Amino acid sequence: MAVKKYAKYIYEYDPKMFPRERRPVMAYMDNNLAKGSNFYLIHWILPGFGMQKEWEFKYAGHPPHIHKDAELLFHIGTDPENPMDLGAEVRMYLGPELEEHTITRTCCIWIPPNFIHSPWKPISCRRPWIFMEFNQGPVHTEKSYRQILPKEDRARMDWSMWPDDKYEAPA
Amino acid sequence: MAYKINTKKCLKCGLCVTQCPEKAIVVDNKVTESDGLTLYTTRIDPKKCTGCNECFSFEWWCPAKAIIKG
Repeated sequence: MAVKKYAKYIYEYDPKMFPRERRPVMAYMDNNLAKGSNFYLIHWILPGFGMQKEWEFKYAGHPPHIHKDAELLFHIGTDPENPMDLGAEVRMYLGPELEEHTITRTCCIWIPPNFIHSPWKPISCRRPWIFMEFNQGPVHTEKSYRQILPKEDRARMDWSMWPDDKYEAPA
Repeated sequence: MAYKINTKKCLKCGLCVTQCPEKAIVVDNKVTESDGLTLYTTRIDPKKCTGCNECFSFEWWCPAKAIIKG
């Protein structure tokens, strides 16, 4: 069968691209895959995700960090009868003061460039829901701000899971 | 207009050093902590700072809002 001319524009996520990925990713896109695209990552959050025993302390989860470009974090509930109910609770900290928020509704969180955000951690999940990370830049960037965490919480995390990404260090 | 770093608010991330277009923010000291995070003590060199205001060009240029005018 002849290959259709525009089939090249249809992308299916290939798990082989990121062998260390732990999340159930559904779709991924960035400038490396399609010239001109920004960074997008979409994955399921399933019951139990992020709720492992070793993360049972206040500031567990994806640690405080920034991105070079603005980011949109969509939390999308999947109940067709009540689509604004997330069906889950997510703890999110915003700003250098670690202001605490609990997300229980379908929403989008706007993260300006260089704005410190996270830890981000699901604390309960009644039904699977969809998390979308849309970045206004061409590729993923990240810089850790774990220095703002209490020492005891900081000492409990495996920092190799969240390396800085494409942020130049001062000479 | 003189610019300064509020050392009480500064998180020692060193981002300002790489972002300043005039290279006017310099590292005085650098310490790598046990979990691999490197922290930088920085200051603004008034001889190099041109007052271009880039460090106030968007709200979170400094993620700690530690740069002050005056």
